Amino acid sequence: MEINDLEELIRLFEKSKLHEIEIEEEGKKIRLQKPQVLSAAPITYPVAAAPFAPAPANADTPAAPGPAATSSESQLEEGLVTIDSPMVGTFYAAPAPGEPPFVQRGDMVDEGQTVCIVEAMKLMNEVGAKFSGSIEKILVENGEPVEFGQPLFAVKP
Amino acid sequence: MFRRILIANRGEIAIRIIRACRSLGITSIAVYSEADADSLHVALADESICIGPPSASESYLHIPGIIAAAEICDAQAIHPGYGFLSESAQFANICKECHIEFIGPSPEAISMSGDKSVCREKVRAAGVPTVPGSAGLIQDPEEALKVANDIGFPVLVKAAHGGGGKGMRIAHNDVALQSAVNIAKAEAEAAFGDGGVYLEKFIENSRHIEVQIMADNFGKVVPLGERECSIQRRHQKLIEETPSTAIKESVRRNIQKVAVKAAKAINYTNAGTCEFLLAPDNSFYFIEFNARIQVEHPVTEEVTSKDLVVEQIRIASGEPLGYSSVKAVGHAIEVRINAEDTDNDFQPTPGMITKLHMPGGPGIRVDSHIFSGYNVPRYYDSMLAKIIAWGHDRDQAIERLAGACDEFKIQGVKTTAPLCAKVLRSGRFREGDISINFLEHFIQDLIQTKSN
Repeated sequence: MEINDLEELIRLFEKSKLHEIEIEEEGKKIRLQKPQVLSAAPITYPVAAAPFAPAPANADTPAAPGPAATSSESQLEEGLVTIDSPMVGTFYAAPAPGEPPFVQRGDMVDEGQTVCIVEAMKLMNEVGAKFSGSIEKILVENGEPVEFGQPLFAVKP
Repeated sequence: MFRRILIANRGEIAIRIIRACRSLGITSIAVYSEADADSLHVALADESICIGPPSASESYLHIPGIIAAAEICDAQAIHPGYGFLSESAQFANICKECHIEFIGPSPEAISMSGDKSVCREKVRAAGVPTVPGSAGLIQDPEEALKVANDIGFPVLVKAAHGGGGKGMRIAHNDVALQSAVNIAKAEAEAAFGDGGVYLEKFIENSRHIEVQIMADNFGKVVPLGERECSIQRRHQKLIEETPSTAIKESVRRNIQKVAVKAAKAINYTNAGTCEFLLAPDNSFYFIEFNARIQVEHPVTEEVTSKDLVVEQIRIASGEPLGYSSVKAVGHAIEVRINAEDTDNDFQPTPGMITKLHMPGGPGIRVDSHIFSGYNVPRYYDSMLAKIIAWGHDRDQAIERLAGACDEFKIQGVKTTAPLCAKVLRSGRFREGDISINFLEHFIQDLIQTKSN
């Protein structure tokens, strides 16, 4: 492969959504790989409770308010409240790539303060804290897809 | 062929689409509102993602949420089902811009079908007979009066952007027409965001006959027979069947040819339905084109043995239609089982289903999302299930379906099943003596009989 071809390949690869490409030609092999942005664990979407479970005794029980926690999350400690995603999209911890995150563990936040961005269709939606408190846990990773109602932060009010 | 499809809908049609995906080896991705977290379509899909709170406008109608879900789930295509965003040209356009295949017609064809007045003019120019009426939108009551006197009362004032049987007002004389136009315009503005209305002659004792068409992306349009949907209450269909008892073979051939002509006139692709009114003298007139898979598609599937949803997916993925005509065998009828109290003006009855038994047996098909222990939510439409019966002839189909309605047992909500069984067994229905007034009169007769 000529150097010009290689440059073109790299340029196209960078522009594309591919993470990895391997080309073998006349005994020579080239492999291009982008650094992983998403978490290494495969994306699992929390599955809703099985519908064939026996009907709850209390007929007024509302439908499950949100997705069940993934296996990596433990039960929330007492006294902590979550800030949940107001929409489906991609979670970003900072206003822009390379900039420092909006909040870190241990930070105090005021009601209304922006704690992260959830992006959908190229629109950046700032998510504000619904109450003041301290950030105890950040429950998602930068660039991770999130669904509506998914807990993003555990806060001690 | 697609590998991953997101279903932008809920309830029985979402399950229908999941089944089609399954038969094609395609991964199905369900979206759901918080109210549907325990829903069957969520449990049956390969993957699922919560997209919003219970209200439809913030979930199933919320375009950014659905597109975001499609992007983060790596869906290559979206099937919109019926209702919700299935006839939103804006949504179809956004899918196109985001390089997600919309399983349905083009945004232009959706726009064209969505504007009933423009669509009417377009097909009329192509030689399709339309109901006598105004040439376009009515600007004011004076113009309405002139048109009405030309075509003769009674007339129907119709919203250009109406749908699902809504946005229509009948006027029997000059005086009624004035207010009908004004009210219809206001209602249309409020309900559909567009106050445009047009006029059509009201055809008494008409029958609602629609033709299913399938069109690929290469210009081929094939008719798949007609359906009769005259059993309606307030323009909402309750019982549908194929073939129609009203039309002879020559009319059948003709009406299908005309439906194909209409589809071609608006450059239609994928699954669609051409609606006609059949006058008592067997003349028929185009009323509108439905740019989506319809609720009653199963009756067509049962007599033609075609899987229409699979066909939709194939067409959207670029496959050409593999046939030019279909053969219809036997007779199929469908009833809609809605969570409504038919003794109480059809009030919706959401609530917990505590006991449920679905019918079965030869020639019985059930398309449904309900199960024992399911809490029917109050945020969406009231349809619980569709029961479809196929028979060698109409009599057998009627027997099987009435039996199935009787066998269907449910506790916790009231349904339209008992009423459907009564209609199916009535003499007039058995004789095929039906029109779009049938159900209203039938219900009135029932109320009369009860009070006597």
